[in-house]
Parts: sequence; structure tokens; C-alpha cells
Amino acid sequence: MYTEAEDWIDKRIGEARRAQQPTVTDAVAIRMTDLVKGKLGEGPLTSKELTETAKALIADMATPPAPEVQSSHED
Amino acid sequence: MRIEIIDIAWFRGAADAIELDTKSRSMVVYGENGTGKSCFVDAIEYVLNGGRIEHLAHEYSGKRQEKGILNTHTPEGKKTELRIKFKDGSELTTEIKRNGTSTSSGAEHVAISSWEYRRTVLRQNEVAAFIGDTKGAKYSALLPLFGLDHMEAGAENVRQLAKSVRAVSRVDEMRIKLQGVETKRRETFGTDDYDQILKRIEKLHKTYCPDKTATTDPLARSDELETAIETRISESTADQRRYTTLQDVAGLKLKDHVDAVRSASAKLAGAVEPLIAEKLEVLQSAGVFVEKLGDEEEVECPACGRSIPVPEFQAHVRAEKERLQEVIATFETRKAAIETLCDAVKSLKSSLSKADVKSWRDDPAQESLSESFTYLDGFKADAFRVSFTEDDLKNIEDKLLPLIDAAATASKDAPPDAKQLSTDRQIVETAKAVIDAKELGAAGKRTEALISFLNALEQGTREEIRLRSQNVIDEITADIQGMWAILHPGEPIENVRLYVPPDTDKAIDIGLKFHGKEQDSPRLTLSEGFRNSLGLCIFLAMAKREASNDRPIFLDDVVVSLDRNHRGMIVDLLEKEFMDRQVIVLTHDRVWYTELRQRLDGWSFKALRPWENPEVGIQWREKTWGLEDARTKLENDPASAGTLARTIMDIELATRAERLKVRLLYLLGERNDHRMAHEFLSQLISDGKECFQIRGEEKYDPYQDAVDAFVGADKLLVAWGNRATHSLDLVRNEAKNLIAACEKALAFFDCPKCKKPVHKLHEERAEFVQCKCGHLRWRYGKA
Repeated sequence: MYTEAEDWIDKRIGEARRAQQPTVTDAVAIRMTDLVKGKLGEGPLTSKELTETAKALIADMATPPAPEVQSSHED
Repeated sequence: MRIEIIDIAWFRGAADAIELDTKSRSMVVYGENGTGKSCFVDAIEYVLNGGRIEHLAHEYSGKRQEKGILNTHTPEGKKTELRIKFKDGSELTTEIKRNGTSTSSGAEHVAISSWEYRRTVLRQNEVAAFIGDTKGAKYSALLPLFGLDHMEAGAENVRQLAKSVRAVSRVDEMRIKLQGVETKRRETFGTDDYDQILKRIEKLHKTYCPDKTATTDPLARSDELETAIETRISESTADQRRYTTLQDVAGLKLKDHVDAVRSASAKLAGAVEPLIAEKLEVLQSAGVFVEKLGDEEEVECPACGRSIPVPEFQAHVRAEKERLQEVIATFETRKAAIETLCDAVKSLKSSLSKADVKSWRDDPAQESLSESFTYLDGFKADAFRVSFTEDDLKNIEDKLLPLIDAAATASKDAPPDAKQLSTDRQIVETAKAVIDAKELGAAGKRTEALISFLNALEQGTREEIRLRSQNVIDEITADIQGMWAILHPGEPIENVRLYVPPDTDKAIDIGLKFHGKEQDSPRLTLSEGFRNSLGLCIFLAMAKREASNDRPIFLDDVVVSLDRNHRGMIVDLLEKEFMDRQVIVLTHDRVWYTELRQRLDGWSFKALRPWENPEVGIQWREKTWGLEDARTKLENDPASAGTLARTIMDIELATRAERLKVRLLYLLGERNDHRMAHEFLSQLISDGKECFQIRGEEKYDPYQDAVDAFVGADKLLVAWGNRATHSLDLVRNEAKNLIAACEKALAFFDCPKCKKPVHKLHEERAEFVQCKCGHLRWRYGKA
């Protein structure tokens, strides 16, 4: 478990997302952020865990982005 | 957590239980070679490494090393046991059975379970091991010290995830399938783009499904169209149905597909064979070589030996990688061509199995094609997808092309309706595949983007590890440099440091400056002794970082390849850096042991007796080795007592003279290290009159009593010591007086006030060595 500042994870995920085409979805970014902050740092994943996580990421990648919410503070 | 006692019984060279009782302090254990001192270190290694001892890892030691771990003469009923007691009273006890299996108790309560052997024990053969390790092994050894194990685990898991995504998504197969669809699209629609294909479907839909104008989704339209065409065919006459099916068969581009596979195979063989030959030759040397490219302007090509500018070489490596990509693409093209060919044969088989063409097949006119029909009926497409040879291609050409030709001949006179139905069915089939492929292609691109994202994240995490490692590396480097400076003051090897090689993951190496010139590795220029010295500094610098854990450090005969001067410096190092840590030093060097005993305050000292046999095992000397040992021989063997006293004085005076920086005439070869007590005393007497000083009321006075004691000891050593050694002729009283004179002389090196020896450099006046309180001093600078 991380006990120190975890800002680097957001920064590195942001960098890794950049320049990917098609765009890496928010769902993937959120899942990977959680994983890097937690389970991935605890030790090698089993092959079952790898397969399940891979399937989840592929599904996340197919998730259409949430519709943009109209801002109520438009200038 | 400090170790208080290590207790071993019938383990290695030990017989009945023998204790190394440190009293939780630092300790020096002296024993000649073969006395069993390393058995205590073996016990620690056994516990830390889960029952394995590295130097016993060979074919003769047995499955569990039991042939080396158990005392060879363990009597029936005796147990092989290890017991480690810690300062807090906790204990770990391990019993090792005859077959090498072991049971432990207390492990859950003791601190040792979290210790790592490599940062706890340093043995003679391991001193330079870190330096000789690969960059990757150095990285692995240091990573736990950085506290970045979790990030390394994270990076590795992300890498494995990228591989899993590739496997789960079957993205590579997807790409091959898309290539097959593209081939079919070109055959059916030529250069038409996606929208034009949809327009053709829309037009056909209007023709075949005039009542379904509400349907706009391309795939739904295609499905409706397919059903309508199939209905139209099924409602037609038997002759028309036969014609339509034969028309389908005649339209198969089997020859083109065979040619495509053959062409791809040829291209692949042409690309792969020379590539493999070249790679084998170049990659062996280039792989290692590319890593080393640093600031050089030119490098020597490992393949041809020519000097090439670095950017050119790097471009060459890039081009090689691209070429490899081309080969992979060719490989995939071949797989796609095989898929397409197999699909075409499957279509042929499916069409010619239909009842509509049974009459045509059974017609005696087709008699000559019976072998072809047999081959087609037995065709197993899945087997061919795995392996496809030139013989298979030839069989397809020989056996199946005549079927297509025959179908084409038979369908030549087909009515226009039948021809049109066949053509339209082909259009719809291909259009459906193209529409499906559009989604498949999008999914493939998403997966590729996901894999690329994971790869970038792994690289980002590694970059983060690199940045953070650098901070710790800088701290360890500062410690290494500090320790190196203590061991090698004023020597032209500087800037010893750990560094992270650029552009290489999971790697750390050691650099230094040798006579002003930067070196990438100590192995390039340092002697064995210096490499060992550096290895010791690195081990101690790593150990120092764990000071808060207060774990003991074991140094087992680590000074063997160091000369006397540098061994003396190690005492300085231990005094300066490790007085607050528990250090267990084991040595077979009696001179060094004597020096350590004189200089290390607060340490315990123990010596082992020579090992006799397995039944007796390891035994401690009852007393620390000294003139009292000589005195025990007075009664029965006065000549031996005199000889021993003289030998002890040779050693004791050597270490004292060295600390006082007494200058002696240089002697050739090993004689420099084997001087006699008389030589030291002569110099001490002549220098001592001026140099040895004791603090008076107002100033320092010559320490005449000491010089007189040296004179007294020297006279007796010359007269009786030599006689005792050479003619074994010495009476008890003579030996007794000799020992007393020696003791008296040695006592003058210790301060009568602070009881400490004269060995510390004066902090402000470099020409003096003094005792701790400064009451006694030796003015070596004016000698």
C-alpha cells in the first residue's frame, strides 16, 4: 500500500493517456489509478487476476464517454 | 534487533552445543583456518535463506544439503539444532533432522524473518560479488533499500496486464481476419469505399425488399436482403437452384487465393532466412553493445568492425527494428491469405454438398472428378490453418481447380436470373463482412490504444522509479565515498558512485574516477584488493541505511586481500561509522585481531581453539590469546613459554609500531611483514627518547620509564627469547622473567590514567599520536 504522496500516479496516467488514438476512456483511467494505488503494488497478480482485469479494461475501453453535463455557470 | 546468542549443536563442524555469546554487543571472533568460526555465519545463512547455504549448493551435498549441514559424526540420539536468542529475549530454535528436513519454533515472534541475507552477511568470497554482478542484479539487491518494491511490482504487473489484454482480446487474430475481409472486399467491390458499398446494398434492398423501406440500419438491411435472396433461390426451379450454386462455385477465386499464399510464403521465406542468419550473428554482440552507448561520438560496429558515428548506428538499429516489423507484417499477410484460401475451400465444400447440385455431381460426365470430390469432402480447414505447405497448395490446384472449371462450364448456359441471384448473394455476403469488420476494426484500434496506454504507463512508472532511486542512490553514494575516503585517504581513485545507466530499466552500476579519468566500472582498473575494499564499502553503506532496524552485520574474513595498512583503516571505519551497530567480525588474521582488540572499545573478543575432530567439534579458547598463555607453559615447558612470549611480542609490537607510525628500514619482499620484536624495540628505544612523552605539570616530558622498559624487554628477548626458540634451552625462572619484562614493556603503551592505548591521531596537531585523554603521546612527526 502506498503511504506516500500518490500524485505521481495521476500524473503518469495522464501522460500515458495523452497521444493515444482512440482516446483512452475515463473508465480505464479510473480503474488503472485504483489498481496502481492498491493491488498492483502488493505483488505479482495471478494469471486469473490478470485475465479478469484485462477483460474489465477491454470492456471499459468500449464504454462510451458519459454525456457532457451542460454547465449552469456559463459566461 | 541485536543477537545475544547463537547456539549450534551438531551443525557443520560443531559437536555438543557451543554458544557464541555476544552479550548483544559487537564482537570479534578469531580462529585459524578450519576452527569452525564460519559455522556461526552458516547458521545465520541457514535461517535467513530458508534452510539453504550457498557454498553447499552442489551435487554432493544432498537434496536438502544434509550431507554438508549435519556433523558427519553426529551420534545416535543427538540432535542437530540451531538456537538464536535476541536481545529482547525472543528465540528461534530450529531442529534439523537426519534427512535435512527441519522444524522451527518461535519464528513468528522473532525479528529475523524480515532480514535479508545479502544485507546481513558479507563473506570473503562475496566481498567483490556486488561489483561483479550484472546491472540488473545490482538493481534487485538495492531496490528494497529504496523502498520502491511496490512501484517495481506495479510496473511489472502493468506490463503483464498489457500482455493479457493482447491475449484476451485476440487482437492479433482480429488483424488477420480484417486482412481477409479486405481481400474479399477488393474482389467484390473493387475500389468502392464503405459508403459506396452501403449505397449498393440500399439499391439491392429496394429491389429485393420493396416493402421494407423503413429499414435503414446497414446490417439489418443486409440481413433482410440475404433472407430475401435465399427465399428467391429456394422458390426457383431445381435447374435454377443448381445453376445458382454452380455459379457460386464458378465465382470462387481459388486460384488467386492459392497464388496469394504462395507469394506470401515466398516473401516470408526470403525475408526470414537471411534475417535469422544475420540476427544470430549481429544480435549476440550488438545486444550488449547498444546498451553501452554513452557520450561517444563513434562506435565500432560489432558486425563489421568499422567505426560508425553513434547517431548512424542508432539509426541502423532503428532500421533493423522496422525491418523486423516488416517481417511480422509479411507473416500476418501470409496467415491472412491462408485464412482466405481456407474460407474459399470451405465455401466450395459447402456449395458442392448442397442437394441442389447432387444431380450434377452424380452425372457420369463428372466421373473424372471423383478424386477431386473425395479430396474436397475430406478437407479439414482448421488443420490447414495451423500448417500449410507447398504440397497442400499443389493438391488444391490439382484437385479443386478442376471442380471450379467444371462448375463454370456447367453454369455457362445459366439463365440470367440465376447468374444475378448468385452475384447478388456474393455482394450481400461480402457487404455483411465489411460492415462487421468496421466494428471489429474499431474494437481492434481501441485495444491497440489500450495496450499502448499500458505500455506507456509501465514506462512512466519506471521513470518514476528511476527518479526516486536517484535520491537514495545519491545518499548511498555519499556514504560509500565517505567510507572509501577513510579506507583510501589521498589515493587517486575518487568519485566512487552508484549510478542509473541512461535508457536502461532495472539497472544500477558503479562508476569511479581513476587517476582523473571517468570509468564505467571498477572492474576496468581496480586491483582485486581495491575491488574488495569497494565491495566492503558498498555493503557497509547499504547496511548503514538500515541503522534504525539495529540489525547485526556479519563480516566473515573480509579483509583477506587487503594489505596491513588498509586493514588498519577498517578499524577506523568501524569505529567511526558503526559504533552504534552490532557488528560480528570473524577473522583468521591474528595480527589484525590483536589490533582490533587494542583499539575497539566496548567490543567483545573471543578466540577459537584449533579444531581437532568431529566428535570434539568447535571449542572456545578459555582466555583471549596473550602473554598469559605463555605463562601457563612455564611449569612444564619453559622453552615453549619463552618462544611463545617472543612470538606474541613480534605481533603485539608490530601493531603498536604501526599505530605510532614508527619508521623502519625498508626490507625486501615479505620480510617487511615478518619483522621480529627486536627490530621494533630497537627503533622504539631510539625514537622513544625524544618521541614518547608523558604530560607533566606544565609540559610534556620524555617518557623515560617506558624507554627503560623497552630496553629491559629487548635485552631479555635477544638473550633468552632467541635461545628458547633456537636451542630450546631455557629454565623456568628465565622464561618467567622474560614474560614479565615483555608484559611490563607492553603495559607502557597504555595510558596509566585513561587506560587506553596510544593510537589516536591528535585532532589539531597531526604530528602526534596520543591516548584517549592525551596524557601520553608519541611525536612521530619529529622522529
